[in-house]
Amino acid sequence: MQPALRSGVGRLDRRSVGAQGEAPVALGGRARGGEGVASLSPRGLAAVGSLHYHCSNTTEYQNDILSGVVLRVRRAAEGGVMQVGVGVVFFIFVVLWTGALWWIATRAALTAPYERVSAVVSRLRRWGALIVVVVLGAAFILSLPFLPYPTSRAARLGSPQVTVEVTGRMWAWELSQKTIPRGQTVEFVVRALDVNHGFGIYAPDGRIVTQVQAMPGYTNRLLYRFDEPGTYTIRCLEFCATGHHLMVAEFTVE
Amino acid sequence: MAGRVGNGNSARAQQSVEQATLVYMLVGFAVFLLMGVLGLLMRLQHAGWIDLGPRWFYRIMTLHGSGMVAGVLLASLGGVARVIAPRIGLSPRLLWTAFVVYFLGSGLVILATLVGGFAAGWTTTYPLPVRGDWPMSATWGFLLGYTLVAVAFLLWCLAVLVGALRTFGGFGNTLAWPVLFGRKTERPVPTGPELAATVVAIDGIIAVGAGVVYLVPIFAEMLGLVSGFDVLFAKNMLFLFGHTLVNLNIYLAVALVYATLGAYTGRTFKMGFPVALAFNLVIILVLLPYFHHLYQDFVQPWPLHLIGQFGSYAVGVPAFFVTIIGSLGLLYGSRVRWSAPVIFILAGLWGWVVGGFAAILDGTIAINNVMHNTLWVPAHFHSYYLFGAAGFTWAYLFHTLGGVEGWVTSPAARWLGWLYAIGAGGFVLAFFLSGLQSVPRRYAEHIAAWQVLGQVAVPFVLLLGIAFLGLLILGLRAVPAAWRAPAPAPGSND
Ligand code: HEM
Ligand SMILES: [Cu+2]
Ligand SMILES: [Cu+2]
Repeated sequence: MQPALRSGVGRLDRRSVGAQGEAPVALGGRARGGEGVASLSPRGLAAVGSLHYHCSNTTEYQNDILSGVVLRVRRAAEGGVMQVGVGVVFFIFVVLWTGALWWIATRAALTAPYERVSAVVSRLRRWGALIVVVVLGAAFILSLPFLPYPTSRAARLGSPQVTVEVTGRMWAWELSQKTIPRGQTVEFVVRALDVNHGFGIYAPDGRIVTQVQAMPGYTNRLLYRFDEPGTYTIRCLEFCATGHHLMVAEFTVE
Repeated sequence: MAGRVGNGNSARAQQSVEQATLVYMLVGFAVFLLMGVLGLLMRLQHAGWIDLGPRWFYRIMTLHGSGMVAGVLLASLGGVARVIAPRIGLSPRLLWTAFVVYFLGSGLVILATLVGGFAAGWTTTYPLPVRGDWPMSATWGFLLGYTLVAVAFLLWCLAVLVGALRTFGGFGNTLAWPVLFGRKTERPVPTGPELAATVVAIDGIIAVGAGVVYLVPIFAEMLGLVSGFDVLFAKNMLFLFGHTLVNLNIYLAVALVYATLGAYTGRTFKMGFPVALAFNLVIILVLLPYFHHLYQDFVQPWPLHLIGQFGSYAVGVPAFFVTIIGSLGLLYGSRVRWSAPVIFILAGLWGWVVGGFAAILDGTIAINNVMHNTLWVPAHFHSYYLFGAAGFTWAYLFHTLGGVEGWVTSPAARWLGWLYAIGAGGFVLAFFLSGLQSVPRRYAEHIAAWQVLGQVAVPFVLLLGIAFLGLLILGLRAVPAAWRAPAPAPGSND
């Protein structure tokens, strides 16, 4: 069961090449290195509703036979794909909304009888609200398979094969191990000794791949699978006063 | 002088109300400008052009956040009080008392950060306020300051709620249920601003309640009565208080849009079914999105995460389809009198929706996992605040100071209005891009790769600053007249 699911994730990546193309490059050169993480791309795309979810039980991700060119393109596409997806959707929205307001502004100084405008407003409210409720409802449901919580991740990535104990305190991170095997599901068992900290993992290309809070008195479990080797950086993502920005650590994926 | 309804104010009381509320708005505006300078300092630091050092950066950050929230809230409380007082009958003495309490509270916050060194961020997430590397006296000062501000806000809420209940008779009427359910009533029906103010008062009381639940155990711990308490529970109360409070600010500001736009378009916002429905929904919906602050607290029971996502999606819908579409309807084909207030409202609609859309994205749990606590978050709430909550409030302030024929329609005022929109727009867009670049929020030091967007932001902040200084100079000249102006006939605002 699990290998099938995992390879499903692997398959999706290749699909995402077609769907995403060169987008990361277009978005401010964030594709540097492009050490993407396989399981991120389908999440990102599906969360913004632009890719259909397919499962297939073909090859394992590690065994992918991809020519160098395709690999490079795919990695570029994966580089920050969640952030890229969000950015694209957001900026399209901003352009449309700015255009709409511009259009209203150019027509504000003209004369139109208010009864006629009111009728349009009423119709917009009725149909617009209906459409928006449907779209938001669909987005809500589509986003649910991509929850970051342990049960949800375990279903996608398989149950953890490696456990890493993480402890945050003012202002340092302690990890039970500094090297993590690639392609295996890792469970970070995250705790804090003094105040709240944020366990944020940055990929070698500089984008956040996942995070969880480190909270005094609680243990949070974060599952993840690293498919790209390299040096990952941990940064504190919950404000913890003077040394907050210095609370950095690293681990390698090999 | 006809049209006095319920327990509306006398003309003299109304003049005192107008003076008090003018003070609320002007002090709020002054605070906004000062805190804006602190914002500029932080962005300069992000750009790598100055070096404040982490201690000062975080103090400044804490003061900027709490000062801005308090300053903008004060101004919009004043504006709304001015709009609704004629019919609801707010007592001038109460408004002045609340102002003094608010002022003392803010003073304590300033002392605690700038002198005491308190730097736990404006959210003061437990247990950081009691575990920081600043003296405990600073924490006392800061939290007592917050308490006073909350007490003043509570006074305002209670006064509005009691006044509204007396004027309209019973909760149902006060919440415009006759309009909602198509029933006849002998009593007057609340106008848009009056309904908005009532909703804010109700949720405001709930928010302050959560704030008390948050603060009391912290005080108890500082007094040595308890040794500590649950951080997850604390965080829930904190954000039920903090998130709700800042969210309510936009509904106050919306009341001010209702009160301003009509004057320049010759059209009025009608209290009708959509407005009544929207605000009644908001009473509940505004309490739900706060859970999105806790998505990354994996130990939080998961249904609460889903409620957070639902609330984050849902809360914007009534606002968008009532206030925003409604305002655009007021503008379209109205032969609008272009002026600073109209430009601020138009820009406000832009930023409110952009910030709201960004919040829906980040309110999606799957996305939040990579966006939480990046600069995307300040990007969202600065759009919503700088354009929406604050922008609408300044629109009303300028309208109050200028009148429909006054300086606000001058070419200078209009240019400054557009300049503000461009400055604020560039500033927030740089923030959004930083968020997409995974730049963490609340970092005193930015690595080189992050500094570029900080550098891009600085000129826009300067534009923004120039625009506000210009408007200040234009507006100040109108203050003495506004102070002396005889009270208009009560009820003239609806
Ligand atoms: C006038 C222009 C403004 C500028 C240049 C500015 C700039 C900034 C900057 C640079 C930060 C720190 C971001 C970070 O590193 O986390 C910040 C935080 C913040 N700002 Fe502003 N801001 C402005 C206006 C406002 C307004 C109108 C509000 C309204 C309430 C506001 C509320 C806040 C809050 C609540 C924070 C978070 C503080 C914290 O994290 O504890 N700002 N602002
Ligand atoms: Cu930390
Ligand atoms: Cu930290």
